[in-house]
Amino acid sequence: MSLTSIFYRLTGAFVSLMILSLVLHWMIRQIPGSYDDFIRSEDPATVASGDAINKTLLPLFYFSVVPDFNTVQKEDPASLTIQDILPRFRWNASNNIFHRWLFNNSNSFRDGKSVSEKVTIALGWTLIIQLPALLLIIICGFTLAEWSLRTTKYKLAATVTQALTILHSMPAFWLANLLLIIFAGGLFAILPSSLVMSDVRSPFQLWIKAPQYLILPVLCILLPSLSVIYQLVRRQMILRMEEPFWARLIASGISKKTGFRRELRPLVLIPLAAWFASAIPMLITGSLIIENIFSIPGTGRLLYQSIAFRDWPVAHALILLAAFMTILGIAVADLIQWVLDPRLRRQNSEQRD
Amino acid sequence: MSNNQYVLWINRLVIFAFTTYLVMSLQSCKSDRSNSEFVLRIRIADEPDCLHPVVSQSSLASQIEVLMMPPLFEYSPDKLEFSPILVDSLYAPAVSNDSTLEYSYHIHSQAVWDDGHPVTAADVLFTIKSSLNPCIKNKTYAGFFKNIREVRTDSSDPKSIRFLINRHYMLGMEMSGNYCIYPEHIYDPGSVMRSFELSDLLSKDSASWSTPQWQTLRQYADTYQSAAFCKDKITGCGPYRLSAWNAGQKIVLEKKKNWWGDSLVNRFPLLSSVPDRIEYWVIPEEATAILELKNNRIDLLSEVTPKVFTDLQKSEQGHLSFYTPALMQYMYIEMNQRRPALNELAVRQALSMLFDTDKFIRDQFNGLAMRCNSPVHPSKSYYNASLRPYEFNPGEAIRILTEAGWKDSDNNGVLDKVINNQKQELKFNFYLTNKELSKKIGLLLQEECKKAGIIIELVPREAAALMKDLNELSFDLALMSQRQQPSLWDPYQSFSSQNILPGGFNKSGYHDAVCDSLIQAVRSAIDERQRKDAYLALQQKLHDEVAQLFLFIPKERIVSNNLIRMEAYSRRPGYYEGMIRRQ
Repeated sequence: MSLTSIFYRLTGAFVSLMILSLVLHWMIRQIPGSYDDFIRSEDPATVASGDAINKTLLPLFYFSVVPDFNTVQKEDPASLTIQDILPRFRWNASNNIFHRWLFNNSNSFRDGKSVSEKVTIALGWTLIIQLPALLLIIICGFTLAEWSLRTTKYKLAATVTQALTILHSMPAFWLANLLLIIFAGGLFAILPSSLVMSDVRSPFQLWIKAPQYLILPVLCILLPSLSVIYQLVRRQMILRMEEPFWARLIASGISKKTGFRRELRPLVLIPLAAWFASAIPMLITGSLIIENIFSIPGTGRLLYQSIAFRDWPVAHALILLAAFMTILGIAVADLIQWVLDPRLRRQNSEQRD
Repeated sequence: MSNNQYVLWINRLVIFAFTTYLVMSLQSCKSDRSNSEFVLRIRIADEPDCLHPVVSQSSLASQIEVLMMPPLFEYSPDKLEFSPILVDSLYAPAVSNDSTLEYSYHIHSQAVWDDGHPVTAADVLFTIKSSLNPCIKNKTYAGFFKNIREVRTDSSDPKSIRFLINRHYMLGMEMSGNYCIYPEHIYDPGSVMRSFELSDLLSKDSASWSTPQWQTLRQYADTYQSAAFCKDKITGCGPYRLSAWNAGQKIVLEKKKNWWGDSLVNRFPLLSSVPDRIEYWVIPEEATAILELKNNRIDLLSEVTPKVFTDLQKSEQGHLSFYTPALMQYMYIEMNQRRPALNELAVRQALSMLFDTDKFIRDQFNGLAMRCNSPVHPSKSYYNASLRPYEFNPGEAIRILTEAGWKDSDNNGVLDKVINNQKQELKFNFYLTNKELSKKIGLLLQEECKKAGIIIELVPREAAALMKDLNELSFDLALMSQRQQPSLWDPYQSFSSQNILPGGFNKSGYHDAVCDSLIQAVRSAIDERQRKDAYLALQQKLHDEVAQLFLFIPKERIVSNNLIRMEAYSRRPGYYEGMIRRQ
């Protein structure tokens, strides 16, 4: 991994995000309705501000090349001249949506609050659920997979595999409601169902003041995803165990447990890193279903609401953030693989020589 | 012990400690409702945009704002008649001249803001002036106040105020004080709005202001409607103050200690403020909210889906309380009468006979709705009770259509007719929201219409997109819901021929000279008897002409636990927080 490749990566990431932002702005213009329309759909008598609409009528970017028809010309095409329909370069300076939404810390159409403030608060709630869930998925998946290969209780291991597959195929909505009925409803009623009732101001206080509120949402993310890591780790380990080095290792008298720890675990970490990278955007986008059911004011819910309300500055910021995290995730995966896999480093140094 | 064993023991210890911590924390899952203070917890599905009456645009915001910033008077939730809040009493208006009525009020001498400043007529005048600032984004208030002629304050008695209002406008009383009152010294410490005359704010358009004046108005409006004023700085003379607003979580109102209105509650029931705290919890998912209600962690939830409501009624009778007041809202199908086919009365009548409203209410609403025949709520004194609904009768619908000349001339299964030398087929698009209930209405109408030779194409849209299509008049039929107010119903917006242009509120394009004159009679009547007669005749006309396809008035579905005692009302949201008591 040379400096040149890092430079190319950063440039590529920046250009990709810029293109995505422009595509998003274009899409926003194509989607019918505005925030004012949404308000009127609740009460048609509302006299709307028009503010939300006007903001999207600004030019998209720092310069424009497409023909700029005014309303009169649109209504009367006969008045158009050749010059009107030819592409023409116009410099819009900072008076464009791209600049305003990206650099001017724009405000939400809905409540006038700063977009960055809204996104940061929601992100805190999402991370407090998703991060422990992600770590637990890796730890539990890894441990279970290793146990299933070491144990002599084959029937139990097969049952675990079966159970994890069933959990994986269960829709999140269904699983969440099932857990709610069992643990928060009439059956046991030992766990709380709604995270907002924890009455903590900041998401980080949850761990200290009310960790019980995290149990059900974390379980709902953990249980369906566990099977993915379990199967991934199991398959990789079985593949390695079929290689001659494993037979030699066991024949040399080393215990199976030590063999797993010293030899197999590092090898499985490489494909696991790739999965981890793909899961990073999930940290940002959250899960709409889980956040709705457990009343978590996270990014998944915010993204859904901002699209439904046509609150475009917030939706735009969240989508860009998710895209950025995806790019970051891919970079992190490459880096981890480069660190863990000596073959990649060797290949690199050979190319340099 | 080897190193490995140490690690193993440490792991076990950590897991044991964490599990113990979790188990201990589970103790706090149980409801911990203390007996010392009465905390009322209400579930809301989403939080309001802001708490600032002039700026906010959601009905939930209005519901909360009124507890902190009460108006001079308000409709009592039970009788739907004006009842004083901030004023001593309500008098009939005096006739000032041929075109003006004078409303006089005296604000309670005890009424003060949180900082001890008295509530005065100047605050009321400031409220009106700031709403009329042309740079305020929400123009709803500005439109509301446009029939005010003058507001007179008295320097010798700062608590007295007189309004001179256009006599020929039916909502004069509302305009004189049925809105939240702002404290001038907090929302305008620099007295900026005092430098503007009310008459100028009422009459001048944006081009008539000088540049410095416009800049002052703009600067003031920017501060007045800023995010800070929308959330953190809300203050009023009502019984509650905003104690906390955790974004996406909850809004907490706290009862003020030694509030001035407590001594007046016996004479002015709308000053009631029984709960010590009112907490609005944001729980979007209905199933979760019901669990919280059953566990007594919330006290009240409304807008429960009909099926869940009736299921709960069966399973939780005795544990929970159920209320079903008829809401001030009705559902109807808007028919775009700019289309030649829908301009025919026979087609509109046939369509109204092809929707089995009773069946729909029975099957989909579990009986929790009532039929409506007019845009007026049945609780109003001027509701025309003699109207008979168009019963579901496909045979009669086909007969009416045949009589009007509609027949399947080309045997394609669709009725057609030549209108203005053009063959018209009975094929309509039907715009509706993508909610489950809307789709079911669409499917039921589609099914019956197909049997009669009318093709309905369903066009489900998101709420915002649907409104755009309605404004652009690209619809044939559209499923709509209209909220009704406790105030006099103004038919001008929805049914006057002056509102049929694109962007106007009369989306159906219905226009009729008799209807216009009746609307005029309703709006300008001074005698209540005359107004009622005009209302009755107008409802009859709209019903006979099938101006809209009136469907039903949904009943509100409110469920509460048995920790509280409350009355249910038809006025939104169906309950009055200040009057809810502890069991």
